[in-house]
Amino acid sequence: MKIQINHIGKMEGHADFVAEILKGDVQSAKLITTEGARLIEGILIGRHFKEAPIITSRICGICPVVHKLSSIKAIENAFEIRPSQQTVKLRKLINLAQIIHSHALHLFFLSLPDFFNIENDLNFVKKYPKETQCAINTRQWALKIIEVVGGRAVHPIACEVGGFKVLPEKNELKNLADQYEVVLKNALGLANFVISIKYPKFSRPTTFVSLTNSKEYALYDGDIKIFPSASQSRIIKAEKYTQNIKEIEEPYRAAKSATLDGEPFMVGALARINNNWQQLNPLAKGLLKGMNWQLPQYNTFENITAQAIEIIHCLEEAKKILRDLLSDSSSLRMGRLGGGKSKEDARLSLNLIAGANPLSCETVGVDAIEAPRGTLYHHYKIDKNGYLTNCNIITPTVSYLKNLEQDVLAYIPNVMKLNPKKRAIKIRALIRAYDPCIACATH
Amino acid sequence: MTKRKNIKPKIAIIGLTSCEGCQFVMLDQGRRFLDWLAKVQLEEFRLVEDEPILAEHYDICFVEGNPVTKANIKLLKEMRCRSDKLVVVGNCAALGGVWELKNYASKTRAIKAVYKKLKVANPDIKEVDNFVKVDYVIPGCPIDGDEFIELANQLLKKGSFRIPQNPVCYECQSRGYQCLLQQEEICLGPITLGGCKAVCLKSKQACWGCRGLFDGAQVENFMNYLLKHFSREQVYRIMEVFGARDTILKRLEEMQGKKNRKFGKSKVNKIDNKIKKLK
Repeated sequence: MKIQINHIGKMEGHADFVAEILKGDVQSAKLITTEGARLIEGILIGRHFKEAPIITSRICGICPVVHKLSSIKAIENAFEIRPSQQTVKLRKLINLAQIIHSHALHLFFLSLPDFFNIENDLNFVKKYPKETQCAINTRQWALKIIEVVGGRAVHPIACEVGGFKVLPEKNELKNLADQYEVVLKNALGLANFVISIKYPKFSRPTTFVSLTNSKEYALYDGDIKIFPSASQSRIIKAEKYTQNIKEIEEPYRAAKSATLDGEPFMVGALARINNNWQQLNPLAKGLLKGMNWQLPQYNTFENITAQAIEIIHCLEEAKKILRDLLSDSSSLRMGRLGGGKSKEDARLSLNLIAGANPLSCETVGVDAIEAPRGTLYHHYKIDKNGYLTNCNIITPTVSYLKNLEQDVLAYIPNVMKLNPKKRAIKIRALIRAYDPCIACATH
Repeated sequence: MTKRKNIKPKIAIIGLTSCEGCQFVMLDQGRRFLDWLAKVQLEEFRLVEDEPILAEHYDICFVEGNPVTKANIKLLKEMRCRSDKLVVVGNCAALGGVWELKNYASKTRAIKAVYKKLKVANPDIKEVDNFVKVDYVIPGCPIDGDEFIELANQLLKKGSFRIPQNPVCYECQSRGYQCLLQQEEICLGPITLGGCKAVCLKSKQACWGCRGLFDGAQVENFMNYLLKHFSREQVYRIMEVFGARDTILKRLEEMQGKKNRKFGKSKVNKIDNKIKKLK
């Protein structure tokens, strides 16, 4: 027997699902991506480093900010340069906004209708106008942050290697900060709605992987924390990711998938909360405590709840950064490298703007950042003139694709008794709970 | 009420291979987009619905992305047959998108860098109008949200639209942004179709031509200017990123062709040599 679901809608990119069942046993579960390969890693070879963040942000229309930031950070790591504190704050701010708007879109418009037996979002929107407004208001605020800091919401422009081409006006940041309380109220409305939903019972122990950082709930940077179900968690350096994480090609899809020491693993909101929940901001932590979960949470449907909690965490964090940026009454300063004080820093900045590789020799840079869907890696080799000679990008969806298939494999017996239509709805709901981005996965 | 519903135009929004950013620009319009949707009968938009069942007929079909796979091409042709008007949305559909870069380098090298064993479709990237007739273009990488809402409304009201044929410079100057050409950067603003509010220039990013040429762009004069100040390789690299290089050179050839007829033979040879050099 075969379960086949063609053209899974309401997610980023195109995919079908097929499971084979023999005498009641599920033999295989495959997510077959049907997205065309754009060969982004291939086309980057021979391009100049200044083009890389612009090209790679086009990997994904919903999470362009993280691709751009990761690309920039990988190049900065290759060149051994450090951006200013102010630059890092502004980058963190748009990364938070990226997670808020991506999660809000996924939760409300892509995933939630599955649990109300509503197939068309527009009907869902009509039925829950108040909650729709909460989701839209939360998203619009986050989009506005990216527009103000990055110059545009989809495919931001202002961020570049070394810093920002232009800086936001203080009064624009102040307007955003002034709207915070109202937006928080909207976001809590959305989060409480998400939390009130009863998700299907399901549990399958797996390994959770995310960044971790002693200073904060890791999103912008950190080391890699690996939290297996059967043993103690451990931490590895981000730049050493290739020692454990391997990409594989499978004959049935253009998207690659990844394993950690040969096994499937989980990344994304649920992995981050399981790994680093102690560092959540107070309101977010309060929501989590209210759930009375026994951690680690192994029900992947709860990835949806985890995203709702993260929206609140990111809002609280964004508020802190806004307050910090606004605490000083002078306007923002063009973020120069180092501290921008020495002649050496000034020379470095000018060279970078001119497009020179400051090391004047072949160099390699790796970056890991938390994208909305999980850890994202950009890895470049750059020649002495600043042109890319090799490139590897591992997206969150690539990372969790095997885990998703294992989950569906384990979940199918729970829904075997349902009629094919209802069964398909349940399976799609689990797949969508992961928030897969097939465009990112195929790149 | 039912009668009114029947006269709403039937709309499809489909995505081929792309980042889907232009579809998200539509969604990002929030309430404004929902208001626009209320005026139409949305028959196909997979970001909001499962189970695509193609309707027999659409009044307007919006196509985002580039036809890379066989399934992309099949869907595109199918939608063209069923739609009165086909509107391409965004740089990938209109100009090829950033993945067209492989056309200018080596597509074999590109695929070898990504896959060791797997065989995947790796065609030359071609704009949508190479496959089907295109009625309208909403340009940009990504499209501009305000412009989309404006043009989409015009389509409903008048059944057509025309983007004012002005260069990006027009908006750049009127907004008082710094001219990057004068700062010795390659900026394609003088020949690129405006309507984007010069959003890149606002962030001090030079225009790389993602919206394509406007009618009446002085391509030849501008190329001469650029080649006086920059190497051909530098100029081409910039034109390649958003797939504009082939379109710009084609327009240049057309313009030169027209001139040949006007000025007689001695001029023809000169211009021919110039084109050869450019290539």
